[in-house]
Amino acid sequence: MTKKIVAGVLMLAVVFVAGCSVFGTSDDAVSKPKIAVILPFTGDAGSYGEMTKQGIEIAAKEFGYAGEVIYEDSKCDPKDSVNAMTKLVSVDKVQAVIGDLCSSATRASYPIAEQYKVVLVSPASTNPDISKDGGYMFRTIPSDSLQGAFGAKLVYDKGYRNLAVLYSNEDYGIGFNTVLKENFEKLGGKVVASEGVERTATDARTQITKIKAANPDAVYFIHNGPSVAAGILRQMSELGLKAFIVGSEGLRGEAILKGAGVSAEGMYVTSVASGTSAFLEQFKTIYTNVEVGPFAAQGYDAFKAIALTIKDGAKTGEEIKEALYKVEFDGGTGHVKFDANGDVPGTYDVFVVKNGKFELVK
Amino acid sequence: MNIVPQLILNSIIAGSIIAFLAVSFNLIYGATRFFNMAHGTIAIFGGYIAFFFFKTLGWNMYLSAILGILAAGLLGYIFDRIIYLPLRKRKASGMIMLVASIGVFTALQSLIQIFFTSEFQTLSDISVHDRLYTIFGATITQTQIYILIMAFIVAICLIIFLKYTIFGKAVKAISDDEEVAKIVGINTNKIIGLSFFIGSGIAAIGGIAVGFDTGLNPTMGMKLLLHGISAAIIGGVGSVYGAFIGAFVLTFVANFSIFWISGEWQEAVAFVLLIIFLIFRPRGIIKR
Repeated sequence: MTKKIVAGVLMLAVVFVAGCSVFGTSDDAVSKPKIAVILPFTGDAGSYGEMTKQGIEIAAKEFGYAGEVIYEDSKCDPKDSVNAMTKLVSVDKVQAVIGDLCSSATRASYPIAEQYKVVLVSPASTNPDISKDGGYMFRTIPSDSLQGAFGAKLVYDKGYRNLAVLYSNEDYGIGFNTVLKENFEKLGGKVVASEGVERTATDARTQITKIKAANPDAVYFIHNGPSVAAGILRQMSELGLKAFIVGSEGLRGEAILKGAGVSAEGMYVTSVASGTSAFLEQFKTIYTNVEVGPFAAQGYDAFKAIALTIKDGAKTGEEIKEALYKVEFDGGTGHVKFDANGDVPGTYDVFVVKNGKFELVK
Repeated sequence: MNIVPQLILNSIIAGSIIAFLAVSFNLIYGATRFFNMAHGTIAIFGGYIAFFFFKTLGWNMYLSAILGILAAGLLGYIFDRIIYLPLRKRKASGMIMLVASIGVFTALQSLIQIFFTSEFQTLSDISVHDRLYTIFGATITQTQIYILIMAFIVAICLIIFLKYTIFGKAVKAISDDEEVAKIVGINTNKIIGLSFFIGSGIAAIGGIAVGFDTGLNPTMGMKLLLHGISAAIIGGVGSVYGAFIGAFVLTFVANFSIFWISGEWQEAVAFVLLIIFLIFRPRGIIKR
């Protein structure tokens, strides 16, 4: 009889302890919100993911988050991005996510974030429609409604009036193409050809042939897979396309220089500003011998924005969201303040490929 | 400007690369009757081996290409010996073989990723412009001319080989009926192993051509294979001649369709063509 009582007490004790520990962990999760990152670390945009991560790591260290950030690889594929988001919200139970890089991947995973009331801050997705996606969506990179206008003006001011566009056929390329066309025609120019190519398709010869036949004096090349884009740049020169070529920020990567070589010479690239001089200094002290990538400052800002709201007492995704609309700080890209759409304003740099390197113009 | 000559050339170039995949796929399919999903990645593997010797070690280009072809052929043969042959002996169905090949595909792709990273690698020299030639107003690069010549040579050799050698006759016998072929004294496993070797080697020529033409990426094997299989089905599954015809029909239709409609529909058109064939002429242009 006593044996049975002892066993019963023991069992109760076990259940009690187990119960405590289960509730204990969930208490911890609320007391320190978890931040995760979804970016491509492999695949053709993998190098951009790594560069963005460098900026995030700087901010994570600053706010005492070193080693606590969960990283997931999306390969810039909407399907993988959705899987990563599902895992983060249901298994890791995070409160805020930084990501994704490619607009189509960001837009695919956002509904899950919103459903679980998790904040999503993209450091690199520029599709104009993301502004309308929802209240939990923020970004530290300006929308392409701005870059499209900037790019159109750049081409127009160079004196070119007949523009052709070759764009990757997904959210980023389509969004950019629409805004660019609108703005270039508003300025008085003419878009003589507009051809889409699958994001992973390596053969764009027929599209280039069509563009060449339209006789443009400038070509805007919008793509976010630098290694694929490098091959397409080679095809442009192989097919004898002789026009002024401007690339979108997705073409500002080492992979372009390594993959296209002489075919990239003379190409202009419009890109969001690399960061304030203070940020560039800080970056150099931590990553010596590494060129700052196109989205490092934006990654830094995304983390800093979230970390600041947490520091001010935000615990749940909902609280972080509310606080993000109010937060204001000097970040890697300059002064950061989100508008009602979760967007930031921004400035752009122009680069030119010269002797196998990106050189800043003006 | 008349773009028709350029479109014809673009189609021929794309078609000859797909032809390597389609022909070799059909050769293996003819002997084994299963969809080898690892085939495209074996082609890419050949390209990477050539890349390793040519770019990393700086060896002679032709020697590197031959090593790439041999390595891929050998790998195809090894996979047959250690995976597909034991399955065949256990009378595994085509579905089980297909699943096994998906396993091979995944493992091989990951291995390539580990050794060569997932970045694009190109076999051609990017520090100079490739030599250009103009035919009827259309431009073609020196590399592409080599690819065309190789496709032509492979086609001729393979047709002669299959028609006039014991091996060719044995492959035909096995694809008609493996059991009967065994009864008449054909060492079926040896012939199947050999067709794996030759098929994987030919696929590797395609992989190397892709490496020179657009660049290599570990994950592009499946896409390459999809185009190869589409061409094989359009041309006639299991038929080597059909595969050649299928490859060119596929690329001509895909390239010329976007002459009228926007370029982003290229892939869609290719697969609509495949569906049309599957519904109306499932055995392809050339019936076996």
